[in-house]
Amino acid sequence: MNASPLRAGIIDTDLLRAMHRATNAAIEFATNLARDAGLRASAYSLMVLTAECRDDTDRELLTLLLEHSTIYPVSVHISRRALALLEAQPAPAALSVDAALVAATALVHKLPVYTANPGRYANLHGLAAIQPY
Amino acid sequence: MEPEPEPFCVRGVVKDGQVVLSVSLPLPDGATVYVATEPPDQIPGIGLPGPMPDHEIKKLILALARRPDLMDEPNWREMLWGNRERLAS
Repeated sequence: MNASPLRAGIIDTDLLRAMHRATNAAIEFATNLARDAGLRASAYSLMVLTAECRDDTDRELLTLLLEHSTIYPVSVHISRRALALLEAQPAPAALSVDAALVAATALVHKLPVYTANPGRYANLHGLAAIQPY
Repeated sequence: MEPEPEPFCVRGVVKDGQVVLSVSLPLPDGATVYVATEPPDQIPGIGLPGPMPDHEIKKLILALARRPDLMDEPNWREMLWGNRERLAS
């Protein structure tokens, strides 16, 4: 029996990294999400992964992933929203810049975040963090 | 009256003066499109929105899984993961 179709959502940087590094569960999730709703990610996550590429094969696979995804640019609006999320945290902020930008992208586009670690996005009002496996 | 389609932006490369796209556009023959060297600001995301066609999923997933040898296999999903039920949302 099939489960409900997956909702459209932003794949966070860690989960995107797991797909890029061929983690089996992450690739299976990517297959289902691509079929049900398409793949979506922040341009910031792609910058992080591009910087981490170890060789040309890594780059080629990342380019392929990019070409098959909807990439949301880090707009002025998203940057401000991310800064507001960070400023709302008691210092020192538990939220990373990466998580703040991904969360802000999801909030601005009214989408949930797919993540292997929903705790990263705890206490962010209005944001749904979904752990897919 | 048909609703306006959701705007989208896709990436392409120029070869011999022609734009070569990495994916097929979900547009009818005769549709007018515009080419820009930078994504327009009003486009929310770059790439085709919505579910991906099966052949594109297969191309992407087998590349990521480092299993191009399964490209001609109709049962590539089962060969990668067995017959497990698909993951729940």
